[in-house]
Amino acid sequence: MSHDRFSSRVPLSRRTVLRGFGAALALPWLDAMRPARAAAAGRDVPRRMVAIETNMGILPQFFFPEKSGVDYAASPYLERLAAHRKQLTVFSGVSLPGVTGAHAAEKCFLTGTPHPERGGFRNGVSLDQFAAERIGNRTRYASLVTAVSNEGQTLSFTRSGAPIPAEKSAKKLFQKLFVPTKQEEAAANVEALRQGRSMLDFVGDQSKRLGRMLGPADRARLDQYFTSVRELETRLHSAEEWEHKPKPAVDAKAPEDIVDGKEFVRRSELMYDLIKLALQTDSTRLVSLFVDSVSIHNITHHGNRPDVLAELRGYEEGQFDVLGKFLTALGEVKEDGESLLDRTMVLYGTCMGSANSHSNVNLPVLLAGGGFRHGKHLAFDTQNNYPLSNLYLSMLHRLGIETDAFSTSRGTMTGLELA
Amino acid sequence: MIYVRILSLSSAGSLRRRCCAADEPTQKFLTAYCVSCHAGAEADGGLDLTQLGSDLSDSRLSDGETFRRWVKIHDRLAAGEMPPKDAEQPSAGEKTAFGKAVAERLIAVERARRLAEAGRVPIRRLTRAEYEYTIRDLLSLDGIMLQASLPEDGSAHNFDKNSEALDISHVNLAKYVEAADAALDMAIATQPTPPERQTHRFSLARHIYHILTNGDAVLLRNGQADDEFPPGSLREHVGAHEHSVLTRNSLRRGVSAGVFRHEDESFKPYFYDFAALYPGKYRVQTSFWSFQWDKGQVLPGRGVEAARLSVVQLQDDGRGGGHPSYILGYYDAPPHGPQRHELTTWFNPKDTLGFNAASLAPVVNYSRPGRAMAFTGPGIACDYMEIEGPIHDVWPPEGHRRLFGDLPLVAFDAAKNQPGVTPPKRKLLRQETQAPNKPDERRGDWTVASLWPTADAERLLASFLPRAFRRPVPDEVRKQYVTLVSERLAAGDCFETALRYAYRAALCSPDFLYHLETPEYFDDHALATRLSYFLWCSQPDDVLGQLADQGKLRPGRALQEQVERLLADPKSQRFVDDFLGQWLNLRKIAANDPDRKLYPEFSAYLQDSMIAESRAFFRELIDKNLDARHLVKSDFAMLNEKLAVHYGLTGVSGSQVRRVALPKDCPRGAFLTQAAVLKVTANGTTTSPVPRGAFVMSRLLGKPPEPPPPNIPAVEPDVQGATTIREQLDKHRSIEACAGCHAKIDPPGFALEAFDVIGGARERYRSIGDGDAAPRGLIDRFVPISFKLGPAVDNSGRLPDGRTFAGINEFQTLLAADAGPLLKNLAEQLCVYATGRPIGFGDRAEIAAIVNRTQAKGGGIRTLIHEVVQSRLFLPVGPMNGPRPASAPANVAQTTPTRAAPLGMIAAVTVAAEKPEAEPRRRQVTLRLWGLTEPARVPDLHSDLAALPEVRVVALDEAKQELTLEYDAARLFPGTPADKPVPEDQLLQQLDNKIRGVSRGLFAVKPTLGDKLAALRREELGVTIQDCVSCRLCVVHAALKCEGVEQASFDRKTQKLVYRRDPAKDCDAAVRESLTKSKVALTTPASDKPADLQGANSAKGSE
Repeated sequence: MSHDRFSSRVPLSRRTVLRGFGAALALPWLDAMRPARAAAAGRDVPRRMVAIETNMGILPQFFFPEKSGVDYAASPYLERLAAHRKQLTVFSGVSLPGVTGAHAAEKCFLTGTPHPERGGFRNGVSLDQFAAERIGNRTRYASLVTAVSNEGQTLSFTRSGAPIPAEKSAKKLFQKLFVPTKQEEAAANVEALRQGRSMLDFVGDQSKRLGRMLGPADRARLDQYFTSVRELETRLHSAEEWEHKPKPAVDAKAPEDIVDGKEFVRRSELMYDLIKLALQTDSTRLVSLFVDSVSIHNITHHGNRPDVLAELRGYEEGQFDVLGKFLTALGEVKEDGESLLDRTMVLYGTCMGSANSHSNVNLPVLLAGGGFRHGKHLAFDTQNNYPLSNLYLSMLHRLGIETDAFSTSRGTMTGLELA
Repeated sequence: MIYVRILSLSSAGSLRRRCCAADEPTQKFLTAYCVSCHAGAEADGGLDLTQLGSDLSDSRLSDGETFRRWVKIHDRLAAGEMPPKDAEQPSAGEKTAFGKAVAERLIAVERARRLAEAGRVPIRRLTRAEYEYTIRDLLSLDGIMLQASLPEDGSAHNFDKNSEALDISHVNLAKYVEAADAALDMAIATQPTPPERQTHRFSLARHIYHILTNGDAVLLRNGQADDEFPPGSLREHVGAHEHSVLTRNSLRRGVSAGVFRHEDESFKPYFYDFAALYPGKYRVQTSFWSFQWDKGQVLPGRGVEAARLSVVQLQDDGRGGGHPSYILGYYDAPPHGPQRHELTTWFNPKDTLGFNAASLAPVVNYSRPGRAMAFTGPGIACDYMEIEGPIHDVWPPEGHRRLFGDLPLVAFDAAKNQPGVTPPKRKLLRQETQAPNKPDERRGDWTVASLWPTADAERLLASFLPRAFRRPVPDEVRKQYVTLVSERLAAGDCFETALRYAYRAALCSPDFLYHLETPEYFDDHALATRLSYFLWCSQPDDVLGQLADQGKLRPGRALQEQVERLLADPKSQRFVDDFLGQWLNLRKIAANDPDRKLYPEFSAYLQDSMIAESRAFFRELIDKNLDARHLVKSDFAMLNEKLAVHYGLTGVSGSQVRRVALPKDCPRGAFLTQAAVLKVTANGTTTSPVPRGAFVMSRLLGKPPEPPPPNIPAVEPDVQGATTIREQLDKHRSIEACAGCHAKIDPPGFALEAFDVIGGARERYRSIGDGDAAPRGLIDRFVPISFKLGPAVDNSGRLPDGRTFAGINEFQTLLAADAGPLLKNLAEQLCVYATGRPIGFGDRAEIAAIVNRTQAKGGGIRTLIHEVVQSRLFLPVGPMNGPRPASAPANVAQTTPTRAAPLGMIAAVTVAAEKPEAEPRRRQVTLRLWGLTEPARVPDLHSDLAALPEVRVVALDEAKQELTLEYDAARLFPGTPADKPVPEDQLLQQLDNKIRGVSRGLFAVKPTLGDKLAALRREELGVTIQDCVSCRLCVVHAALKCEGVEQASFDRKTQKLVYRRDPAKDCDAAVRESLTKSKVALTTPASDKPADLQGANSAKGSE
């Protein structure tokens, strides 16, 4: 009979990489680097990003405000974020061009790669990983890929479109970020890393040997393998460098994980707390969070039944409440006279405009913080949507990444200006 | 390449000659019949011939869009769909000429492209499933779970075996390194003898006590309710802890657990008493029966019920539970006496078993007044669960031998024989969960010893590498691996660690991770590999390997015999599961939970039965070589009782799927109408003819419809009973732009409207809003009917060719009339799956040939598999004729030792003799026993104390509640000198700790009272509790907790708590308070607070 396996995946990160080499290692915390950063203040303002997708849609009738511009009347959901009105922009009439396929679109929220439902689909690089490739080297972890899920989804994809497994356990994430590694362990880690690298050297050479015997197309496939080897080596190398520096100490206890899928709101809250700590300690500047609310999937097909709608609304309000708390927490942390929220873009949205009809247009999306002139409802054409990928390009620019395009973008976001 | 630049269309829409004259007819044809509609920004169907790149060789071809469009132009014309009926028609000759010209060019272009790519099948990485199965077979680790830790594979053309979709990144690579380590850790033996084979027998009662007290389960003895632990009823049981501990003894008392409640979020009946420590094979034995519970009476069951067993991976310390990793199976619980089940399964560390009363409706009694005593309904009884293992027939295990051959295992001693050598890394094995089974005593670091490390490494790698790489390995490559080992040895690694390093590299190398099936490599070994990955999802076994070594794996008879052999092997079930999981999308069966109100009868058991049906049906098609018409119409079905009832059929009993002949006109049996397919194509709440139609078109009929055009709003489903999906769709279909495609997509979907979201037959839609009361039908009477019946279903339709059908049966007859398209589709699906490559335009001829040959031999599915394997698609470009690659000379096989490592004798190993045990220093002590509530608990006491080897019971004085023990001071206080007397308080403390520990706090010892005993004052207190051994224990404990109470017991006859207290300490009020706190109702009024308390108690007692 059925042999369904429940995936329990751990994210790939430097630490996972190391575990693969029989090692677990300590990476530094930026306290050690703080003087250097302070010296560079004004020149190199740390810019951060947290991208969140909830995958079962957001009821549009409770999300979108009717009026556009600065004096829009808050919708029921935005009411929950009232305290942050000046620090957020809400969008309507936006979607990712060509991203269709109902649920299939959930893996494209940060990649914007069109047509995930089609036969030969291959995903592209996600916004956070695009940024991580460019600015990830500045922190202990290039990025954190996290999820509130009992399945294996992720928001983050490598340049070749391979999914990066998300960390689903708040407890493990805490451990990874803040629990120090013992010294002898660290020494063993360094040795394991070196051995790992020389093994990679070896298999890299093996792929070159094979490549010599293959045709051009196959050689290209093997090149992908070889590139992976090199990338992993680079990661191991930088892991080795981080090895001797201590992890940040935080004044918080390791959280206990919640297993129940229906508790995704509370589970999100746990993750938000950790993400805040990770940003505060500058352990990373790029975070993706996939919130799997599949446990309410059946009620998202509400068929417009009032009782089911009410239940769904309850869950979604809970989601906005914890998001609000997260924004508050970011606002309370000060850095160089600014709040962490001023320097952290928080993108929140979903891949379906209406879960009931599985439509992938008119996506409910908002952006908070990050140093933009917020406080507006940017309303675009609901019949002919504005590309959300333009927002992603704007976000990359805000992170200090010079690029002309990202995914399907046609320019930067109209109406979104720097503060 | 001269045909490649065929034509170019000017922006004005007129055709301009650019190339050779051969193109002229083609251009003329397009100008005459096509361009009038298909030009400009408003071109019909979005096909603008003036913009369509006609240069089939340009770079856009690799994206395939231009190429695809030309294929489509060819196909629409060939199918007679274009030009439209009302337009000017070309003559038959013109059409043929045009079609031929386009086809020739397309084939030429495709061939050129493939030649340029130098291989019909690009190299591709192992899929997750392939990786896991390969490691299992390579290292003989039958149940290691690796899939879940690898990143998800991409998929293309519905299958994950496609080269283009199987990307690799540093993420994959890092995970491969981890997985290789996990596999090697598990395979390498670290002890000289196998782990002790232990047998544990458990009671389910122990893990469900909380629902026992709630009335969601009962204890049964001799086929009746257990009189010592009465069913949960109006009168609550008291003392959860006492119940939890005492249910441990239920097996000894001959008690079975009878369960009414289904597994749910707050009830997980797992056997936490066991968590595997050593991976390996285990034998599982259990016994189930069904019964009808009638308010305290046990009657014969209503029929055969099904219990589910699953393997559960415990998380962390196990207290948080875990998730079933996979389902072992469903097992019959017959109504007339217990049925014993025995099975063998693989456990990974921290695995245990989970039970579920799978066939029962989700009934909960805890919220029912009267609980179990007011409940009448079915239950499933589990007598015991026995787990025996790990079972090792050979030691070291086979996987270890594949790595280290027959090298002896010795104790590693760096100081003595290996100075300067780093010992192997060993993780300390410990029981991380609460389960009592413990690891064997550790006997030091054991590892393989080699006297000639380089020679041994050379020999072992020569055996391992060809097996891992699935082909002969050139000497120079092997030498590179040997060099790796030498380097590690020089760096101070022990032999095991050094060789392991090379093995890990091999498992992460492209030779292991990639299928090399390109022409350069397509020799006998590549064929053996392709064949075994097709039918086994894994590497070739020794037989295939040897045939390939000998060059005997040839098309024709030899290959045919191997296909037969592979299909007959149980490993071919992997093919059935993996193929159906993708072809029919069964992997996604759980993606949508049916709405609970609309489909209250849905259950996990039903869903698993659906999958089982589809798999068994495909298996039956292969085994009996039945024809492709069975995809859509069948006169038999593969059913168990659950599905039969779901389909409205009677006469099938039990959980096992078997072949059932169907009554005439029953539409079931075939894939088209199997519940699994019907569920996968619905969203849990509603059905829509569009996705279902598209599914049938693309997966069963092999005619995938065009994807929907952008910006078309989807239909908002409605379950209020106001409109039907057909009415909603009709509006859509009346739009001309949509009608064309929907005329093709929708008809199969219309026919399938006869079935609901979970594959049940329907004549009316279920509704939650408007509608009539729904009859129960065959739905289990414990399932509440929470839906109504809405509008009637219309499942008639009209095929694009004009034939009409009134319902599903007629539709099936229409489809089954022509087996050709069905067989062709299945041939294509199998080819894509087997080769990891989409069917190209140029492959159509070979597909047609496969279909023809199959039909000539009767059209059976087994024949089809043979024909696929023997076809040019499977055996590319004259595989056997080409020269072997220079790098793998034919003589390599000879330099390679035989594949199977000889199972030589393990060198004699001397285990250090254990020290003779010191003469035990046995002394006696008499103690006051705390917690012996009643004579019935004496056996519990003895069985608990039997688990303490350091003590022995000499005497038990029940009246005085005094216990005399003989104890072994050396074991109680290890490390203290033999002659040193132990202070009495320390002795008492230690014994008390041990006894509390072993009895989970239900027994304890204190100093004897001696003379004080006579002076104690005896008190009695009437209580109202269940007549239950655990409840009585709870009462006694409540009293013993109070300061001043020195002894307590329970008089079952008078229902009174009897305790003796220090006359100086008046603790009666404290005892009452303690009892009340434990929710025990008192019947004796306290002398100082009479009336109101008494009233409250008697009211409660009279319920």
